[in-house]
Amino acid sequence: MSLYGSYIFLNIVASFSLSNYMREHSISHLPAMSSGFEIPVSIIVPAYNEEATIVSSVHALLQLNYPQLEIIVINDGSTDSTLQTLIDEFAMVPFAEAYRIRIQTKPIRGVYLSSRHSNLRVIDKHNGGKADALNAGINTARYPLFCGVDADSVLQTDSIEHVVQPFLLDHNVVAAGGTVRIANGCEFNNGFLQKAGLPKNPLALIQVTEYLRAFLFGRLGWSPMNAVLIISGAFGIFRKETVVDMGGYRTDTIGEDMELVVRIHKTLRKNKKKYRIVFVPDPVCWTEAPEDFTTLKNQRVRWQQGLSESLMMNRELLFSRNGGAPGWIAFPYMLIFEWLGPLIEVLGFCFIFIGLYFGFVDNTMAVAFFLIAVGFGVLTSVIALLLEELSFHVYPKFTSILKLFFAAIIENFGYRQISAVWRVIGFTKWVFGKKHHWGEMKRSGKWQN
Amino acid sequence: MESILAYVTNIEPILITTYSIAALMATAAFLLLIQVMILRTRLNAKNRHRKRFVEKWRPIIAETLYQVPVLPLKLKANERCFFVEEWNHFHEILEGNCKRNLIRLATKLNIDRFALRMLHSKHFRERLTAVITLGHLREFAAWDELKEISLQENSLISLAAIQALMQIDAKNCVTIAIQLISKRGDWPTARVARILESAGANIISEPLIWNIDHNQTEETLRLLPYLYLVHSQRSSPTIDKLLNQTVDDRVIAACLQAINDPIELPTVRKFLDHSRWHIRVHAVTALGRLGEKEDIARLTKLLSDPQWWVRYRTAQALAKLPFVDVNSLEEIQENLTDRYAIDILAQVIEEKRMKWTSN
Repeated sequence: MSLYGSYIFLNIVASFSLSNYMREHSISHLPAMSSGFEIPVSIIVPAYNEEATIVSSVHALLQLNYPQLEIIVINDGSTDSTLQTLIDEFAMVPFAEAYRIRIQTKPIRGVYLSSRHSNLRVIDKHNGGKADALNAGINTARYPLFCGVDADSVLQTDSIEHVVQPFLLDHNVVAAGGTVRIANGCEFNNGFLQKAGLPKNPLALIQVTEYLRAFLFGRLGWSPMNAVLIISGAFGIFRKETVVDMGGYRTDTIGEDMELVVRIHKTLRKNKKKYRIVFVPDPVCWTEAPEDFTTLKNQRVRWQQGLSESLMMNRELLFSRNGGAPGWIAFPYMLIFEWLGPLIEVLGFCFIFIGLYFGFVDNTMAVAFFLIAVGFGVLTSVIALLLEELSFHVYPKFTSILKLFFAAIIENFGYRQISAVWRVIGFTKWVFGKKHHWGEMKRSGKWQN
Repeated sequence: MESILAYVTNIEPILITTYSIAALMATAAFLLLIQVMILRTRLNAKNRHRKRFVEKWRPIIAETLYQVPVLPLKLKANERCFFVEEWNHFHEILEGNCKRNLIRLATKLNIDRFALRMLHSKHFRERLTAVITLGHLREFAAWDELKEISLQENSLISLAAIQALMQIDAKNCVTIAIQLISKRGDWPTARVARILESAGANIISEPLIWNIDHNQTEETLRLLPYLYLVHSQRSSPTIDKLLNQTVDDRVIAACLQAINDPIELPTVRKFLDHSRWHIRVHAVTALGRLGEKEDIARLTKLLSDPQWWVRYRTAQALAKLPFVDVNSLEEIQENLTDRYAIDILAQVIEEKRMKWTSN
């Protein structure tokens, strides 16, 4: 109940935040209001065995609408022909780059520069994992802002422009995240979204409502309080100097994206530095959602492990002296509702089932409480739908709303419960120190064609 | 213990409350869904309306780019907002004479009066659109109101008002604008630069220099980033004075960025050995713009600077000098002994070569 109460609170904050954003956004995209003095951005694309999709991803990145942009693909010791594919497609030639090693990484074998696109480079390095690849990208990035992008994500053409805006408006902004949406069911052409749509696969459809909730109020709600603790690894822009000062991404966690953001909060608050970490509600990045239980399970287990590591590695932030909203509100919220929440939920289910079996829990009472949980669950999803309708109307069809509403109802009958179980598995794996590695997600990559 | 058991067993009121909450949630969710549907219906209707409007009006606006249509034109009341949006969009993307025709078309359709009324709308977006429209219309009747709006706390509308005032009468607005810029830390530098740039160096030079000369340090600092927009012969004495008087890094950096007159070369050279590396970066960059043959030796020395950025910008500065080509860079490289200097120059040589190849 308290979880849903907190959701309602975040919803209220998000509604105000979104209405303010839309008010300014609607006009700031008139040509005269865009500055023409945007901060240059380095896009870092870690790639591990991405030979099938990397070329179309890079082609799409090269078409992004932004005045000053460099693209750095990090070939993280791929065992397939990722590097050769890039060399052949973009006429890459060895380049004598005098980069600085400001963050220690696995050795770099070579740097290549495209002779067709002067803003495209490939860094070939020994395998060290996604975080290590990102760190190598930071070392070689030349611009003050960098954007970490998953090799299999699809960006909106104006995505960088949107997410850089907070940096232009406030020099204290050190990081900004954008909304990630589900790509399944959408139509893509040449690596760009052509038409938004909903997936036919019920598992992916439920994840669409999940993402709407997570991004439209889960993160937007925290943004006005400067308490955003997660910026998705699929798309986020950071001030390079801040990340270098932090020592870069940690390579001993699978939740390197969240860990970095929590660490930035912890360190800058401890040092009493003025900073802001913001969230931009525009849908800027599209990513494929798992359509089968095994892949979804792996993803959720990994997320929970990442969450556990991020929180525990930065536990000093919790109720710290200068912790502010991140330390006193967001961190405890994450700890109670996102970290321990699934465990409590699963224990609650077990208690109810055992109680029903042994007769110390009343049938009607169990049904009534379940109905409340469903009611709150549907309500929060519908509020997310309303926020979506008030802002971006990504899904154009009338029937899409009904489908999403239907998904918001059915997810309460099995999906939420199994999802909680997977998260408990992730939690347990973290307790026993089992490690996950990157590149395990099974993707169809249909839109890449 | 007994009392707890008694409470737990007496579940009737709890059950009623629980079911009531569940029903309440379900009703609220259902009502919100209806609201979403209504919003979508309205949006679809609005989109259809807009489509019809665009089909009818876009050819007329496009024709206006060449000549104002002589046909009797009339806008329906519910078309005005669409028209203003479309008209503003055309205004933003076009240059030159076409704009005059667009203004004539808007005046013919009484958009000026409509925008003046919209200035008092209770909706922020409409007020902001009105400010932008009145600016594009060069509507002098809105001068006083726009001046008031430029003092508002909201940075978006206040800056839009300054932009509008600048479009209406740049000469009279520039003093107001520069005074406000020196006081407002919330206005994004990039947007302010664009507004000042549109007014032109002839108009902004005098008041900007005067304010830099006569303001306090903090206010001066807010104005310095725009110094590069001023005619170099006008900014040189001020830059010279500031660089010789101040020890504030921010002032020095801004001045070095603005320097564009070879007369300032001796001053720039003084900062090549500055203790702060970011000042050295700005100094070598300035030398890259203005340097002479004798500066090659100075720059070559800085290729061994302990800071990577100084080395990189120095190598770039050398490559930018008009009398230095790839062969000269290679000659310099051959005479270097420091590994860092050799590496950084190798990179810039490669960059320069690539640029040539791609060109």
